[in-house]
Amino acid sequence: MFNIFKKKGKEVIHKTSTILSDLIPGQKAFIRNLSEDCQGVERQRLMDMGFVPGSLVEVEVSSPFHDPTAYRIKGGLIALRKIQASKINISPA
Amino acid sequence: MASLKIDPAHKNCESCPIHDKLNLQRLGVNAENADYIIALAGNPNTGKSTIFNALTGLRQHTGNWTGKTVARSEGSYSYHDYKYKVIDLPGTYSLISSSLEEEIARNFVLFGKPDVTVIVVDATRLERNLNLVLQMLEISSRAIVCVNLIDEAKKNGIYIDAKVLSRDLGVPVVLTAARDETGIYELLTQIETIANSSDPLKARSILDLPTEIDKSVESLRKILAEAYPDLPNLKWLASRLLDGDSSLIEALKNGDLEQLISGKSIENASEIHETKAASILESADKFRKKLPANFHDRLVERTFHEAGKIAEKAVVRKGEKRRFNLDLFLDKVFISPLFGYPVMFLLFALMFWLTIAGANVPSAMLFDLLVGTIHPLLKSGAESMNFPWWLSGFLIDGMYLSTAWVISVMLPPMAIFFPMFTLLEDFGYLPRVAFNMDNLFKKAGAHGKQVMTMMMGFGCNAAGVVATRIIDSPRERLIAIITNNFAICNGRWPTQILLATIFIGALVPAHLAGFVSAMAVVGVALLGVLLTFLVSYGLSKTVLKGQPSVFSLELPPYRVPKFWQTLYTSLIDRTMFVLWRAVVFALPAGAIIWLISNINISGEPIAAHMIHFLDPMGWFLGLNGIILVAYIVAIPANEIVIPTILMLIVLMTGAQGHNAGAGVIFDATSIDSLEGILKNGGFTLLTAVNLMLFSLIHNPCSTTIYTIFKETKSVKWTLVSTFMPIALGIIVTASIALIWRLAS
Ligand SMILES: Nc1nc2c(ncn2[C@@H]2O[C@H](COP(=O)(O)OP(=O)(O)OP(=O)(O)O)[C@@H](O)[C@H]2O)c(=O)[nH]1
Ligand SMILES: [Mg+2]
Repeated sequence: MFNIFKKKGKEVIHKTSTILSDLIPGQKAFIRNLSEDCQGVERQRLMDMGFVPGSLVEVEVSSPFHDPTAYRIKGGLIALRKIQASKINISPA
Repeated sequence: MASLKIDPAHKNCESCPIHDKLNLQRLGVNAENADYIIALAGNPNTGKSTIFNALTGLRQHTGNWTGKTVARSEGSYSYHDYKYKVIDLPGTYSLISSSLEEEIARNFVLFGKPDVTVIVVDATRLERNLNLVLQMLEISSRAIVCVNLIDEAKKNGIYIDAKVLSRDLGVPVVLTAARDETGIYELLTQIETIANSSDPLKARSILDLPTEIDKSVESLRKILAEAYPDLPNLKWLASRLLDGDSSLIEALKNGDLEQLISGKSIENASEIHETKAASILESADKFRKKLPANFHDRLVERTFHEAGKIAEKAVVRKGEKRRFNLDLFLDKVFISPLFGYPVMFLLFALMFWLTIAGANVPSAMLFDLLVGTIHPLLKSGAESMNFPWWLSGFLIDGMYLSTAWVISVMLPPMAIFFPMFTLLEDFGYLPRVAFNMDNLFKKAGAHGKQVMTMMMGFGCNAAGVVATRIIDSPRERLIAIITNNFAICNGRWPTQILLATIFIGALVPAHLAGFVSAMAVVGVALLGVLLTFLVSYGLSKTVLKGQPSVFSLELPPYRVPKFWQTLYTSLIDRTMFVLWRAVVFALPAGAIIWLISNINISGEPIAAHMIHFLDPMGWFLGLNGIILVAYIVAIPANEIVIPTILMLIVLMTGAQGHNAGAGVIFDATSIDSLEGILKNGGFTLLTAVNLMLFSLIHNPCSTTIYTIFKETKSVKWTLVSTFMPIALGIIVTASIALIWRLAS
């Protein structure tokens, strides 16, 4: 019943997921790049927090309304809104 | 000066000679004539303020979330023969700042010319932290890398090889666990060495850029050097300008840059620097066009790449990875779709219930002591010393009594609420509330981090307004500033608690009273949150239109709070600080109330004139004239509203004793009699409910208004923040009064 307490979900990636916001908690991927829509302060912030090409990212938890979601990256746990996560392109881990 | 006491059981003694402790003198804020300036910089939430406290003996606030420190603060210590001034800076993810508090940190490191920069990094997130370290080493090699939180790292099986790291970075590396003061003495020694060394270290440079970029940087650097010979870190500046760093370009244009360097404002120089700046920016533009489009990304990626390589060599993992991830489990309880909201609600309800239930008895005891016992003693003492009635009235019935009321009404709830709140903060829960609620804030066109500023507002609105610096977007920051007043501050909690206890708890059987009054207070607090949403929504759809900006929030690891230390500091710092402020305002207010109640104009005291004048308005709002007079007297500080109301009722309705001044004869010798006093003053359930609401929805206190002005630098927004809540309060209370009267 309380399946949220179960061990992490199977670490498989949907072949079609190409953006970070498609992943569900428990899934992992590598950052491919940041999309061109993501510019200025937003781009800088994401990069500073470790969202740079090649980094491994894992989805940890979603918030009560499933947006924002918290991602584990370079040891830190960073919450992003869906709209931002959708600007991060990924490739399978 | 107090030297540090020697505690033989302390861990430090294993690693450091005991005499070192005797050489450290913590000098607190006394930072005059310092020989050296030490800056504490680094990623957010790495323990900078904790180290600052360990060095200076001060108690700068620390907290388990990013953005606890939003302004720089100074302290000092002396060690061996030198005196050091320490600057605690806000945390920052990179030197390319995007929010105000980050800019404060960056500007100090760049232009404050510290003798030593201590870069504090989190041992459990070394790679990301090294990204900043590498940027910082670019601008200053007089640096020490302080790898903090090694205790936490150890628990996760992570060990840092300081030698390897130091060799790779080219600067000293010290391992610390600041909370237990482990490694602090080694840090002191290293600071001493670097501060006293004349030749700069050879820090590694990653700015060995591809030649085409390097050439442009170098050309621009030369231009800058000609224009600003005194400017430090020209190479870095040149590469930032090439990159089109908007805040630097702005600083260059309006002369702030020169001000930062010289530390004083330069007059009449505007024309000169305008032309100077224009020509520099022009060159920068020219060079930028020649650069590859993704020059900036490449730079950042390169830095991270380097950081990754260095981290890999320096980090040693021992032992298996823990099978059970406690943090993840806790997160599934505290922020999951299923439990996030219920757990949050229960936690806060529990906190209020404990506060209300726990404050009852000590409040009554304090009241007994201060009002029931000491007040009559003072009176009879004054009488036996033949004080004239007005003097004893002014001093004892005015100043003493109002202060006694403030203490007995405020101290117990605060002494319970603050420590609990601080424990929650140290545990790491606050940013998780922001995470839970971001979605609602997004819908209201505001920023999720506004929640954190609200939480600070639950302590003090002025602090909440300053805390809005963590919000990058000016529009969303303004929304957070204007609505912070809807977070009930500690000056208003006692009003809520007292009224709920007396009037609402009384509606139900005694065994439920505590619970029901707690729920009433939670209800008012939630109404405040609702108003925050509504007003934020309203603002973001009208005068502060705009797109929701980006939201990124780091959720710190859960940390077991240091229970006794937290208890101690939150009692001493927060509770006593707030109480002190309340007393400072209560003393003169008590005097004023006594005066307006005893100086007669055409046969009636001034207070009576005011009350009569305001009574119709009070009636219209479901309040009364006394309350409105109290709010006028209490504009400086919300803390004294309830005491003022009580004093006014007593003074205006109490019997006129012979030679005693107005209204000293009342039998308020126990806190239960407060109910009697209020009812005597014409309080009904409607008055109580509306007073609770009005206390939520009215103008901010004078300190907060001033802070809003300082933060926004705008008269317009200060006025909006002041009068919008009053207007709203009048509408709400008047409507409730109307409906109430129609219905009954
Ligand atoms: N276990 C452990 N906790 C620590 C240590 N140093 C600091 N902390 C805790 O880490 C949290 C953050 O500490 P702060 O000193 O506020 O961090 P800061 O770097 O000043 O944070 P910002 O001001 O937000 O940039 C607090 O809850 C501290 O109690 C340490 O060495 N070990
Ligand atoms: Mg700090």
